[in-house]
Amino acid sequence: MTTSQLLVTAGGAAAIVWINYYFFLAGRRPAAPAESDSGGAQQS
Amino acid sequence: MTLAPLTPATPAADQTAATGTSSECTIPVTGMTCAACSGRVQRTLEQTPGVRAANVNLMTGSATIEYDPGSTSPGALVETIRATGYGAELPPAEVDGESLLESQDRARAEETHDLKRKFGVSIVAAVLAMIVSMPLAEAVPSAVPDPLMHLMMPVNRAIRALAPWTAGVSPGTWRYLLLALTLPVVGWAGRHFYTRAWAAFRHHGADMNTLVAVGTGSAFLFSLAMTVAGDWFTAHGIVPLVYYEVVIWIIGLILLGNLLESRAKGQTAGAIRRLIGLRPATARVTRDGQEVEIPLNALRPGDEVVVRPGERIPADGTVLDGTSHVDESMLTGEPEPVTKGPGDAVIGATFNRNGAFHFRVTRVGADTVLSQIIRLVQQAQGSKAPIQRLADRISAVFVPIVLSLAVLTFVLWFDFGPEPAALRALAAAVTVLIIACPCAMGLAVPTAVMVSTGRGAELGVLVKGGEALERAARVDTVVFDKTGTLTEGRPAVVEAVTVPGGPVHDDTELLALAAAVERLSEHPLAEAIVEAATERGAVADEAREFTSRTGHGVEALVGGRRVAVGNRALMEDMGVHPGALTAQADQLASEGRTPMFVAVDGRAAGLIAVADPVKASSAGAVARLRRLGILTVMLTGDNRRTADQVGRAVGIDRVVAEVLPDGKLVEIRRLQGEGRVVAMVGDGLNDAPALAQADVGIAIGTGTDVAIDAGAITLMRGDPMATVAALALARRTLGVIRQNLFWAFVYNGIGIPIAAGVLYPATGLLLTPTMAAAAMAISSVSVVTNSLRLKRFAA
Repeated sequence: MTTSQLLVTAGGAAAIVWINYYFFLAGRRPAAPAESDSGGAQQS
Repeated sequence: MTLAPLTPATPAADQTAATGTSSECTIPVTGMTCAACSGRVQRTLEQTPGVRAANVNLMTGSATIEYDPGSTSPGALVETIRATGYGAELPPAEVDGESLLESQDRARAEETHDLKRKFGVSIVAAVLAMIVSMPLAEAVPSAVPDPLMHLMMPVNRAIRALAPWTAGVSPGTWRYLLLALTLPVVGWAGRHFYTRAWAAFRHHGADMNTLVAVGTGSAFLFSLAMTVAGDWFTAHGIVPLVYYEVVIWIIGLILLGNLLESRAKGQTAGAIRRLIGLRPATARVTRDGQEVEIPLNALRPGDEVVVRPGERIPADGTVLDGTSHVDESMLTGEPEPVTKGPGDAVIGATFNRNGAFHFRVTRVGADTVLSQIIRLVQQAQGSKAPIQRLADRISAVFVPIVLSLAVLTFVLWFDFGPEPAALRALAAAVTVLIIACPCAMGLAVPTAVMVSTGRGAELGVLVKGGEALERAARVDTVVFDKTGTLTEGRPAVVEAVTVPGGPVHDDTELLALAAAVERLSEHPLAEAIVEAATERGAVADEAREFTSRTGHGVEALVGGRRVAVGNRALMEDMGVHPGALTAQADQLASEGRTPMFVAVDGRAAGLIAVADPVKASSAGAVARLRRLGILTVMLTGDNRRTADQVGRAVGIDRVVAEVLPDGKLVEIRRLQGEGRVVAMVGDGLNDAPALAQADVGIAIGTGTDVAIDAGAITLMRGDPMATVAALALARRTLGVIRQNLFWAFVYNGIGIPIAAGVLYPATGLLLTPTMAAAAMAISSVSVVTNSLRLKRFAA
């Protein structure tokens, strides 16, 4: 394999990993935590 | 019968749900073109704090959201949708379903007009780009032979002959000319692909726009680099090839696909439009003894309206005087005109044939039967069929997988493809991206559901939604309630027999006593006895201490005498010996009549035989169902002999007689226990538990009311043939959905590997990006066209 072929293969592999990470894993944020009640006195 | 509380079909309706802590709103969403688009909007909404449930429909272009009003608001939800890159507007309050349709029509017309202009510009640019590319292709042959270019070569020769100076123009100039043609297409006509793809990307989403944007964007940027730095590439031994015409053709063809799709989508709402068009614009009312023509929206309940021959009835009401024949086929599917006289109910939007009459308005506007039907159909059209989940699940992961495949394609061609490998790799990767757009997958189910529910409404069959339609398609057993479903439901007394030397003198006294008791009963057979007694002038004292024994009969005190009317079981319970009446009862039952024993003061007094004629179409409907491979069952509380006789007359497979009202439920459970998918056809009120237990409840409406809460399907007419129409339509629809999904999956399943070049090593066959764009446009248009075939469905 030539250098350019090796570079393209490595770049392609990295791109595939990144695509799957970005769309499948990074997009899944944990659910927003429940808000504390707004009324009433602040508890210390 | 009552109308179920409806999810508002109106975009504006923001109503608090029954729990009091949850609200629901429907927001129109624009710019969604594929399943991945609607799926992404839905997922974003579902992840939004305060949202309990979201249903985004690609076909109707709307998002129905159930949310906690304490945590979010419709305004915030609109912003959430806009942040995904799609259009959303908070509609004005108090918009009804018809206004919604009008606004959808307007939006669709604007969208179609916009697409037309963009497609027009793109196609002109594409043809010019093709002409400009030809001298360039001669000077610098393309990496991948384009058949379209090959076809245009005679044109190139003609241009050369007419304008020989073109031979002297440098390749660099041609490339800049092509860039000039591409810029308006990329920057204006196809701009929305890039903006929407970017909005999706920012939210970790990918949809059809991503594929188009990455595909055309990479081809464009590659070509731009070759144009701007052509000399540098040449100096380094790289032939400066450009793919501008490919970019223009792809955008042009995708716009053409969107344009055809938008037009076809408009046609799917045709049924609703036809229903709305039935309503007259004005009504002629009597005010102070004068006939005055007023606009329909000025009509109020209580108004007295005059209807002349050949006019449409403006609202629901009750006939005051005059008689006529009214054509109700447009709402009930009933082909024969219905005779209307004083006291009869008339339905707004139906057609008055020959007589003139006055009627009192009872319901106007949103309360009318027509408005209810329109609302129900709109709601059904916006619902999702369970089979859609398959498409949704696939589309959610589809685009990132295709992006990965495109990268893999590029790498494989670069490493192992023939020279010029880089150019071939780019062309193959772009082709994979373009051919994989999941538009057809997203349209496969909703287009079929929409056309089918609309066509159903035209046939007098109201289907609750996609789920009901899908379940109805799988039905293999139909259970009919006998009275009022297979029979007319208007029983009449045909014979009265007294016991010689018994407690009554003659049949008039027998009828009088029986009628006095039955007057307090709500059973259809009771009505027949009361009617017969009234006709004969047979009158007795008022009944007291009335008791009803479910499934057996009734008894009461009439003028100090204890009178019981009911079946043989009632007589046995009461210790009454019918004697010779038993043989007569058997004889009457074997003739299809229902014998009712009458006992007075514990002694058998006589028999009253009631007959309920079988509907003319019952036998035909049962035969049609059997031809569809459906088992037919008749359930009745009637005695075995009568039930058998009716069963034989209509050709039913199984007759289950002497069933108490609760027993209908048990019988349906038993059939379900045998692994059968059961549809129950019956009265929406009396058979409500059985309808609810069945896999598909088919409620027979009266035509003047819409009993949709009782069943998954409501028939607007009492004709058993409507049952056949409903089930056949459901089957046809599921068939069309399966065809659509099959072709959508096959298209992608075959198209992607061919685009990647799997056939190239063996056959040399390779698709070009332009071919992929054409195939993508054809696939989505073919799915919508296939669904539109359901418009021609005839029962």
